[in-house]
Formats: sequence, C-alpha cells, structure tokens
Amino acid sequence: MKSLQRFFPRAAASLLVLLSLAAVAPAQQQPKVRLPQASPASTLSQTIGVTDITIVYHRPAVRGRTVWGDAPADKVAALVKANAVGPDASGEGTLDGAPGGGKDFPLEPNGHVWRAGANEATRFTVSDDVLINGQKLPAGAYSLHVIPNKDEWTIIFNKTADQWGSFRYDAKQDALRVKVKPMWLQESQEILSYEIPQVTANTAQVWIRWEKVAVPFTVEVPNQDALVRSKIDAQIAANPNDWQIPLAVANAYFNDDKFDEAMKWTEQSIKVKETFQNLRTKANLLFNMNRKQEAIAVAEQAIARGKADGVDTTRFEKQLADIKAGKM
Amino acid sequence: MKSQRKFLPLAAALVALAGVCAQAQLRAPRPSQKASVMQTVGVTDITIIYSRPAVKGRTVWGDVPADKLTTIKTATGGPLTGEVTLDGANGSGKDFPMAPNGHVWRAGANEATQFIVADDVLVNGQPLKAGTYSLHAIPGRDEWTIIFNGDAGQWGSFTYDAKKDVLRIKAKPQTVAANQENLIYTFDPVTDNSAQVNIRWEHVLVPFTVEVKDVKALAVEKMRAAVAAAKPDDWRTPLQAANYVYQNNLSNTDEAGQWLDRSIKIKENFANLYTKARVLAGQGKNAEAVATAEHAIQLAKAPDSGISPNTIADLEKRMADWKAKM
Repeated sequence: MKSLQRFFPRAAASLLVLLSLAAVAPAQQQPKVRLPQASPASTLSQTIGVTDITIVYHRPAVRGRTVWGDAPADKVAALVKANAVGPDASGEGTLDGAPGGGKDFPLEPNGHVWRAGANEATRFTVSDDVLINGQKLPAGAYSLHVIPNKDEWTIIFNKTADQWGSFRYDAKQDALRVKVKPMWLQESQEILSYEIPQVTANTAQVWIRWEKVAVPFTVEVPNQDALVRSKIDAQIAANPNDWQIPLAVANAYFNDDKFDEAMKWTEQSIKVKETFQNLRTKANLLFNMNRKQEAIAVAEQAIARGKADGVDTTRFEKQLADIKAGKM
Repeated sequence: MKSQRKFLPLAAALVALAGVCAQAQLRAPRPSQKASVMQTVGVTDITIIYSRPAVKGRTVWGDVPADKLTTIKTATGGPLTGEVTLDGANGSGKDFPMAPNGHVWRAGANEATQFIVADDVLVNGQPLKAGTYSLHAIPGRDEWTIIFNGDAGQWGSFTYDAKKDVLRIKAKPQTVAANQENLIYTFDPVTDNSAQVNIRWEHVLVPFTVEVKDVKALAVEKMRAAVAAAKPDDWRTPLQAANYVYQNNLSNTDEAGQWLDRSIKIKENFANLYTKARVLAGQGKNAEAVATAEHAIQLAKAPDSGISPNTIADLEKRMADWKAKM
C-alpha cells in the first residue's frame, strides 16, 4: 500500500478500501475491480492420495517490522478503551490493524487471534475427512486462524470459511483447534509462505513460514485404501456399463506392482466388455506374473479383438513377436 | 511402472492409463502426487501445476555414461539423439540419473508440468505471452534450459516437440545443503511486479523470474473493462477504479473523474462523496469540496449508514482545513 501515500495519507487510503466495502458489510464482498495488493494472493494445493487440500492466502511482508512478540498490556487496554479494536481484544481477540502497532508493538502479537495471512482470513479446504496432527477435521472449507506464542501456537480451523481478517472471528464456529510447537530458524523469510515440503502416500506436512518462525502441522488421510475403494465403488456403481473404470483401477494396481488386485479388476473390465485394451492389460499382467504361455494366448486374443474393432494393434503385435522370439 | 516396460513400453502404458483415467474421471493415488501453486503479481495470476517425484535415495542429477547412451532406447522406442528425453529409458539404474544432464525432462512427474500465466509477462527478461504452456527443463551442471512449450497438455516429455517451443531461457542452478525429498515449486521472493519461481529438488535449486512489465497500466486496463462491464446499478466498481487512479497519481484523471461521477450518479453515498470532496479540494475548489463533504457527512449520519464515527470525524477534520483555505 506504499503507493497510496502519494495522494492520500496511509490511514485514509485503507479507509477508502474499507469504505468501498462498507456498504456491503457484514457480507464480505470481493471488489469486482482487481487491485494490486500490498500482500498479494497465493494458492497452494496438494493431493494426498485422492484427497485434495487447498490453502488460499495473502502474503504480507516483514518490511523491517517486528512480527512476533508480546503486545504491552497497557497499550492493548488503551486500544480497547479507545474502541480501536474489538472488546474481545482484552482476551484472545485479534489486534490486527490496531493503530498503535509500532516498533514496540508486534504485527502479530502473542496470545491474539491472527488471520494467518493478510486481507481475507486464510482459507483451508479439504475434500475428505482428515486428521490434523492426529485430530479429526471433517471435509469442508474453513478459515484458518492462529494464535502465535513463543513456545506454542494454536492453529484454528473455523467454520466461517469466508471472512475478512479475524475481525469477526467467532470461536463458537471453531471446528478444531490444534497446538503446535513453532520452530525458530536462522534465516528470515520476508514474505509469509505456506509450503508443503514433505508429502507421503497419506500425509502432507504444512509449514507456515514467516520471519524466523516455521510452524508445521500434519494433514493425514486416515484409512486411505478404504477411501479410495469407496470412491471407486461409487464411480462403478454410477457407471456399471463402463469397462474403462475397472480397467483404470487395474492399471493403477498394476503400476503399484499389485498384480493379483490388478488381475481381479481387469477381469471385471473384461466381464463388462472385451476390448483390445483390457485384454492387452491382462496379457501384460500374465507376462509380469511369469505366466508367459497364458500371456501369449491372451495377447493373441487381444490382437484379434483389436482388429475386429478397428484398433491399431501394430506395435503390440511387434512386441508379441519379440516375446515369442525370446527377445524380451 | 517398472514392471510394465517388460512388455509394454512405459510411456505407452502411462498414456493409456492417463487417457482412460481422464475419460472415466477416476482418480487413483499416484506415487508422484499432484500439487499446484498460484501467485498473484499485481493483477496477474501465475499458476504452476505439477506432480512431485521423490528422491527415494536415487541419483537425480548427473551425466549419463556415454556407453549407456549408445545402448539404450528411449521410452517411446525412438532413436536416442540430441536432447531427447531419457525419462523412463530402459537401463536406468544406480549410475543413471533420473533427470540426466542435457536431456529434456518434464520438470515434474506424470503429465508435463503446466505453467499458466494470465497476462503477458517477461521471464528472465524475455517476453512470454499470456497462455498455458508445458514446462520442460534441460538440466545441466552449470546451466539449465527452461522451456515453455505451446503444447500444454502432454504426458511427460515423450511427445515434446521443440518446434512448438514458445520460449527457452537459461537459468543458473544453485546447490543447497539440505536435501529436498519431494520436488517443489515455490514463489519467493515476490515483489509488487515480479515473482521468483524456484524449482527445488534434491540438492538443486533453479530460480527464474517472472515479471509484469507495467502493473499499474495493466490494472487500469482491467479496471476499464470492469467498469465497462459493470451493471447499471453498480456504484462500487467505478468508484474503486477511480480511487485506484487517484491513490496512485496516475495520469488518466479525466477518466477517473468520469468513473467517480458515474458512481455518484448511480448512488450518492459517503464513500463516493468522500472521494469527490477530496478530489475537489485537491483541485483547489475548496468551497465545492466543503459542500460535498457536508453532504457526505449528512448521509453518513443516517442511522443505517454503517459509517463509523471515527471515519466521519476524519472527514470533518479535513473539512475544517478546507474551510480555512476558502
């Protein structure tokens, strides 16, 4: 917002932005005009298995300011008294935008709710039920707030997904609060950054990284096999005459070297309809299961089917010839 | 996929799978999981969609031994010449890096990495038009080539065609002490008009810069379109556009004045009259500024205006200054 200072003083400039929004409050409405923002928007998404998590946030910069620390109690009391912040700021209520924020008043004071970003509260969306640091969070869209502290942060998933800052944050709408230990790092990170440095088959580690703090929490998809299975079942139930879905499942298992499972699904696909593709997969599977003679028989069946259906089988025929000749 | 290449070429198996999955819209967990990052620079969104391979103790970077090059075939079965991709090549092993120097790599896993930019930008200073591209890289020990290719939807780099390149840039790889297990793209740092893209995997970091040439001009261009498209009863859009011009001391003040007047004509309220009063004062028309401010305050004092006493007090203070200058 630096640029605003040339024409209007800083306070008035942000006032203008607020005024443009004022008439629509309490419903928060995105300006239809896209303005360059001092804290630009960013989005991060990660797939864990078949589950998507998405974090939408804005990235404030340190700009030489004090980010973390305690807010002097007398200043907080004065702000509450002057109506410059909400009355709940005497508790954990947000001090965001407090006019007194200065050198001895950190941007994100310890013990007070912060939007964990800038502009709108950070948005956290997850497409299936997950565990956050082991605790259940149902699928849904949440606003993400935090309460920073020196030794322990609170990460808040709040059911009012769309809100401006934490100004209207209501703890009664919390879906989950988890406690996290912040890490204090050597290197300063100028702009707030959400990152997922580590991802496994069923977990992702999310880092909130700003200034010298990194706050990690883990998102885990519990019972992923059952989840995948239930999604597949739903797909198949909805498309009982589609041979491609079970074949896709078969190929996925095949990729994972799970031949028996892959074979089961291939047979299911063939049962719906014999095609070059599913017979070819079956041949490939048999070959990988060291059942070469059967593989060759099914491969020939696949080629015959393909030719009858007008599919180009040339390359597969060449491979079959190589196999028969003992080249593979 | 290891097992399939015994019989069916790897790439073909993958293409078959991807095609089938796309048709059936069936999602299966993938070893290299999908991720995306989006960063706004000014009013321009830059999106990178990729899949994240893991190191898993393997050799990621390095040269392919010359003797191996002569014996291997590419995954597609084609001739191995020049910079052609070695992804999934037969014979890769311990002494055969995953993303070999000098060969095109999808800069991710599964589908080639996608790079989407909403407006024309400069990449390391070179122009790249708004669009969706596949992103490939040619790693090298001292210098990487980053490729923006016009064929955005391709599996790996197997059908990569240099003739469809839109831009190639050179980037300098850096060595980082910490191992990054999963490939990661980040935007950092980000300024008012640029973002550095970091490709980070294993011990290598490759940065390149995406820059928007004139953020303010682009913002105004988009505002102009937004105002033109605004509904007849929308007073907010023209006001926001006008405020942006005034706040940034841009030259199109005549246009901004029209936008502001349009907003006021649609609906007089504290927000647009507040701006109007300040514009008038800025033009030295203090008497008109005061009259407009008085009107604004009158509207603000209506019980349901939603305007805070502090805001009204701010304008009253300004008004006193203007009065003094009358």
